[in-house]
Amino acid sequence: MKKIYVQFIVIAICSLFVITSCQDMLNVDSGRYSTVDKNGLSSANDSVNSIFGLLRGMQKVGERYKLLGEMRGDLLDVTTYTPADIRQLSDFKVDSTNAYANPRDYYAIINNCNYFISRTGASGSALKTENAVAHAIRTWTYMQIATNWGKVYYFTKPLLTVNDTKENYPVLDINQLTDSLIADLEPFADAIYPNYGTINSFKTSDLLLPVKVLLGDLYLWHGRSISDYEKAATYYAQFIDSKMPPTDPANPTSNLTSSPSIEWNITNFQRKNFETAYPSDNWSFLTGTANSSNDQIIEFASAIQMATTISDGIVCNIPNHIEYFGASSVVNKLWSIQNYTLHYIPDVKKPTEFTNYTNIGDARAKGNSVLLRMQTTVPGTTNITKYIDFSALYKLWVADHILLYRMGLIYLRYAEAVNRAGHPNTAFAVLKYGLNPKSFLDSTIIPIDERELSYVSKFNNPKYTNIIGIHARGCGDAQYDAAYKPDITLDPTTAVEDLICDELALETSFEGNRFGDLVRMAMRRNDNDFLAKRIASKHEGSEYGRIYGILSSDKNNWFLPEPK
Amino acid sequence: MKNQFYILKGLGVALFLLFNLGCLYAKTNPDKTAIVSSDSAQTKKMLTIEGHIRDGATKLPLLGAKVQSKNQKYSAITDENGFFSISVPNYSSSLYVSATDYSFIEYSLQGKSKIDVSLYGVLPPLHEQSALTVDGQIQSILASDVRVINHSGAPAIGASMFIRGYNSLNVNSQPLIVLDGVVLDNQNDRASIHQGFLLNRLSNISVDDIESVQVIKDGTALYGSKGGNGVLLINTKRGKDPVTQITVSSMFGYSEKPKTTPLMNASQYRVYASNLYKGVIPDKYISLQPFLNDNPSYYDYLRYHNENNWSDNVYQNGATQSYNVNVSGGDNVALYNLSMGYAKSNSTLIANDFTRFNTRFNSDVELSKQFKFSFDLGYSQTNRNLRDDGFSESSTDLITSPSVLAMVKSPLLIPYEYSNSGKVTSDLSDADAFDIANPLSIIKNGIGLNSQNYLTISVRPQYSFTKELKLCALVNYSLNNMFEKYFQPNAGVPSFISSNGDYLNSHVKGQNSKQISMSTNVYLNWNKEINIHAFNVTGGFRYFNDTYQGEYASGYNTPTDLSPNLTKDLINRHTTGYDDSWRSLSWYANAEYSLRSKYFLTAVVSADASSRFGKDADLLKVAGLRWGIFPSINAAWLVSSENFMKDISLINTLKLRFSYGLSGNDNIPTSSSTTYFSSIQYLKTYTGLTLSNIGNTTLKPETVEKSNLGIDLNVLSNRLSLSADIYHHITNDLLALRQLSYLSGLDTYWSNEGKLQNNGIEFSVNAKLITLKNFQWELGGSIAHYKNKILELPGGDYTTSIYGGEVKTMVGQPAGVFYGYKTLGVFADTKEATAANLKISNSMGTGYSTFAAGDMHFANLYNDKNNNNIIDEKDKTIIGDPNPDFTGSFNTRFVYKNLSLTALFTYSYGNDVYNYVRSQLESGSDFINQSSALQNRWVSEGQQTSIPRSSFGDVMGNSRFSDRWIEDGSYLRLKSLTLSYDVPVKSTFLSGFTIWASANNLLTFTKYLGADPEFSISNSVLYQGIDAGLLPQGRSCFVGLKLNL
Repeated sequence: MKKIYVQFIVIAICSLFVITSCQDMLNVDSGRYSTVDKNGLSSANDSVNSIFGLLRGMQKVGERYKLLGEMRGDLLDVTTYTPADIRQLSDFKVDSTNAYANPRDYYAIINNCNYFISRTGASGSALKTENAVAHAIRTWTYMQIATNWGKVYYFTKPLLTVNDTKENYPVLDINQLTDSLIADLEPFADAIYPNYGTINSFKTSDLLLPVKVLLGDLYLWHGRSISDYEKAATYYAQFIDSKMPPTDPANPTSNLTSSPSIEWNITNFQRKNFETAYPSDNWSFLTGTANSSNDQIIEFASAIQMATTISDGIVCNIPNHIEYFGASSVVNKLWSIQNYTLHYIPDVKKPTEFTNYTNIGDARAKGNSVLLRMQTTVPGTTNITKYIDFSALYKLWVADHILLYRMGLIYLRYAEAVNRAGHPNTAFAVLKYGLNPKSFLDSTIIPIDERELSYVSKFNNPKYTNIIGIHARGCGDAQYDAAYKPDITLDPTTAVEDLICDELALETSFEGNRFGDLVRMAMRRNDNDFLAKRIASKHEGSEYGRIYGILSSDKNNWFLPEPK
Repeated sequence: MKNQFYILKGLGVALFLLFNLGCLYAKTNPDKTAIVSSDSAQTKKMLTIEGHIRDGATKLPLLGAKVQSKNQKYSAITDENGFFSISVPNYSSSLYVSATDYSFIEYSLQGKSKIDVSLYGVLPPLHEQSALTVDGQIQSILASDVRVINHSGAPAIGASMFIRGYNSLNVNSQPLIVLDGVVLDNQNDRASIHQGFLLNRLSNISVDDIESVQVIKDGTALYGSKGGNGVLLINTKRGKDPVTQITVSSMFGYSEKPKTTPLMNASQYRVYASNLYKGVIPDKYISLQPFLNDNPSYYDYLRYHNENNWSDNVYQNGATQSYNVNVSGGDNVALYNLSMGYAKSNSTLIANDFTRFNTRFNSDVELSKQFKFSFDLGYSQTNRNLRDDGFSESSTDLITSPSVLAMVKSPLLIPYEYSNSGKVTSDLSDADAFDIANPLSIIKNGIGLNSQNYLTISVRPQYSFTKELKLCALVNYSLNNMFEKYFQPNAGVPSFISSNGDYLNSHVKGQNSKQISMSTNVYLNWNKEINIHAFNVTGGFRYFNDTYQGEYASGYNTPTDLSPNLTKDLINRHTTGYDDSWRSLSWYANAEYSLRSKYFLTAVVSADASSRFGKDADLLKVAGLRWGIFPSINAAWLVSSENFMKDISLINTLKLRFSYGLSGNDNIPTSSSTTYFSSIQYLKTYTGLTLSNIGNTTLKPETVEKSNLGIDLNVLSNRLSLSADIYHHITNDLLALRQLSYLSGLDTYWSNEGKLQNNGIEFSVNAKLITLKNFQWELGGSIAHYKNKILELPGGDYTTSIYGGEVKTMVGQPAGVFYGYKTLGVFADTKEATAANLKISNSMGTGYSTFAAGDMHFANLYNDKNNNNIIDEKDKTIIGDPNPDFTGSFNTRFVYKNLSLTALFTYSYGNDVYNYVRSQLESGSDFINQSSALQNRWVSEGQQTSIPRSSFGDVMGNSRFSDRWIEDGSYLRLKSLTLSYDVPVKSTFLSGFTIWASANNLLTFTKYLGADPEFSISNSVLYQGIDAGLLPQGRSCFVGLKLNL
């Protein structure tokens, strides 16, 4: 009897092993992570989390967007305090151990995008709108790699195994890449983004990259035909138009006060603007996202929002190390040789117009630098302090967030596209006069045959009445400055493009786009000298020759080395 | 899936058959045994052996000595003249001879029928009575088997233990600990929040509860994928005898303040610091520095004009006390052992202590002849007060360790403020002008807690179908809870600016964790002798299930030092957590066979699967899982039992051993074979999900291939015993962290690659030199040598940055070698420096700086056209090897009547040390106080010295990682000296009374310049031999008593 009982127990123990499969016995789980099987991205909640994951990926490269885009350009220079890694960028001496030389964080964004796209791309997926967001982020990131490293490894499948990471993926240069990216992104040209409301004072739309601007950029880089440039111009124009506040059809001029009219006159310095000349008047995300009656909202297009404290996330450290950066002699000279024009009618009864120039140069110079006094303690002491005076770059000093696109930049990109589409006059009008109904009245400003182009005619609308030329933003009443004109010794397209290139420097210096702009123009012209001369000019003495030699001899030298 | 189901079904059926056959066998077996025994009774030829047993010391005959066959079936007892006669089967080759208070021997018959045996009195067991934890005991008893390196002088801090070299490089290399048959996870891969403190679960176990510790160095295949680093079997005390026995023991100890590095005194520091200012600030400001302002009316004059030895403020004489009560007894059904203990030890570092309360109940119940079970329950609670100890790994971190502060803080200051009238007050002073914290403020206002609760419950049912066949099981549940808190006060500590510009002052950290381990072991055992053949076969199944969960949070800037708590208002907050689970499964079989008790053969195999293995690992695939197979074979030959040995009377026992086997290391970091996403914080209140690991699905355990050849020899009537082993280990499929392609966006993944070898010899000897009736003298010693060598690294050589130094992992070299610059002395004058014309590229990367007189002369090992006279990475070479040539111990014991004196020495020879402490105290580059050796620094042209000039910030890198900081760490230490006396008592209630006194670390012979040559800052292989200034072990003495009631 007892034996049977024991036998029963034994059999019961055996059955335990039989019932539970061995595999189940070794299945483990963790509340700290989610496996691929679990992260199926089938619900809206999952997708929101993943989009925030992508945005955080962008935060990780935010600082680099500025540093790589500007240190290697002609406008931002090093100071005596600049550490070696940043100095190497400026000197085109980047070695593979440089902290900025590895594109890993960029590919992390791409891999996460790939995963997201692969899980939400099916037709009928409830997450189609999020899918467009991921396509846009992937496009932007690939373009960042291409402009900084000269080429990309192009893959659209998520790398989820060690073997995936060891496969060979096609290497594309910028031209080949734009082919792929245009095909990838164009279907989403009219996609409507999801709206997550306001995130720490940033509207959702300010955080997600505008597809039309990205498409405009892609066609501008692609630039193999007139039609490419026309497409680029169309996308930029569509975006600008969408940002302009709609006017009341019954009273077309009613809403004009909220049109963008950024002018860099002296009074403007005192006004709170996205870049002000007054240090205590910080540019903050609030400026860009203030209520819609504020004119500044229209200038702002897209940014990477950074955390304010490291408890909250990734912080942009550029403002904490403002002493690393200084304006280059190139940009200082460029600002100083501009005419600041004042046009006025002193007596209303005797309407004689006067045009005067002042010698202050471009007003944007003042908006970009401020004298700071830094107090440091002598090492090993607490009671001996040293003061270091230096000219800090205001745009960097207030760069708590990473601005990616604003209207000034988009107008200039539009001008670049229109110019290459064969319409240098209209392009020049963007700089000097502004595309507004008034300009359309003058055929010397906008030729008659160009007015009906779909990407130009949009601006012949009362809502653009207050739009001024981009050059006028820093140079006063530029439309009256007879000296401000394209170089007539060059062909008109080249001459206008030179002016656009200068205007990008005057208007968008230190914002992160400089190096890419120079590369694009130099590649389009197939003229290494164009880039080499400008960048080398930042350096003095023998360094000018060395850097000119490096950059003019081989396009490959423009880019960061491939890490081992 | 379907296939797996069938395999599973098959497995189930197999199991079913196995156990049912067992039952079937159980039913039929009694008849069989009866036949065999009746058969053997008729057929066995018996042999009668006669002999005489005497006391080896007095030569007098022994009455009542027991003589037995090996299986204890046959036995005899000597008469008053020491004679006996025994009949044993004629194939018997040896007899076991024992007597109370004498050491037992296995006597080889060698065909003789008349024997004469001498027995020697047994000495009380040698062990470290003053140890609070078992690691201390292991060090003294098993020094040749395990290389035990105490982490520091902190109480119950534990030790790094290595068995036969380093059998792994990057994952756990510590032995597997099996406590009462249950695998104990020693949390080697978990970290405390306290600098210099290492988690040590062995500190939960009282030494008084330990019955035995055994080391398995080879043939560890039984533990399969867990035994690669060797195994420590620890057993706690169990009831043996129904007679109630009560043992009360207690101990009191005193630890002397440890030896510290000689430092500059106040006037020397004054000169040093004022020299350092030259060139940093304008001369006119130098004399305004508070410590150089000699105007007594200056308001801070008193504060900066003292002569203080800071070590007096942070060190104290430590005290230890321990009490333990042990009760054992029972009846013929159940035996039990119950113990309770309390120990408290104050460290020699003020504010550091250790308290333990422990209780354990072990019981063995025999319900019937067939069915027995054991039930064990253990609980212990440990509490520690801690402060950061030793230097932190980054030299730019704020120094918060009181022991380090005591070294680096200027001797010009004292910890207290002066009153306006010039009297020293009891108010603690704030951080000084050199930005160095007041250690006493951290001691008084800081918090450092670690408390742990450990609970273990085991049940061991055992059912015997027959005498030979039994089914056993062991089910265990263990829980380890830990709570840690850290607070670095604002008062007395300098604030600093974080990388993002925040001013940070007080710092709070908290961590809590819980580990639950459950394990099951079910096995069948068959034990049978058939004439000259003896079999012992075991087959079974083990299952382990572990979870480790925990949370960590930290932040800065509490509102005041009075609210040292984690709140949402702190800045630079950081939180993280752990939720790791791992499970493993093992089938094993162990078959032992012996022939004539002379030839022994053991074959073991285990098949292991684990949740840590990758699902595509290159291992046997059965039932949907990947199985690592670990076979081993052991053979032994008792040569002394052979007849041909009978004329060699000198040799009493001679045994040859050989083993070969595979074992493994399954400490693959959890989840490293899984691809997963984890959540991240996006801005303040949002969370995101991002890919955070790409799993390597081919991960498998490291495999250690071990072969061993050994010899045991007893000669001169067993008065001299020798044991020697030679071994060869190869670890294949080393686990290594590899770089992922940057395309993945992630950094690293674990991979199996690389090969490591350990060859070595071990030798131990024990001699009973004098064995008189009232006086015995024993001498014992051991020596162990290993040679570690990396054979393959498919990913190439690499260096690991540790404490500002570099450790190179390189084919052809041992693990852990130091890689840095070689030096050729100091440039005495400009002529020498100019001749060498060496330079380095400056920190901005804009040009070069040239070494001048007074700078170190680094060997320029690499020179070519492009690298002309430049000292850089390429000039680094191997500058030291922390692996010892040999280690071991020796002991000597004198016993006179009831009095015994034991001395134990431990030693290590030929190991290099990277003296990080000295690299800081002799850098001459900062305002931290320096070692008095810096008095010899280069100051003037032509001066011959080995210490370069001091210069703020060390622009030329004179104090970089070089052979300047590599020292010979060899030492010989009188680890303990113990005097013990058994008080002769004749009382009805007191059956024994022992008092003892012991002194530790009385003498240390070493050339090492640091405070203590024995330290280990981590259990990790690559961190060995790096001295980060943890609390040195000083002298201590203990007295204790033990009462047997």
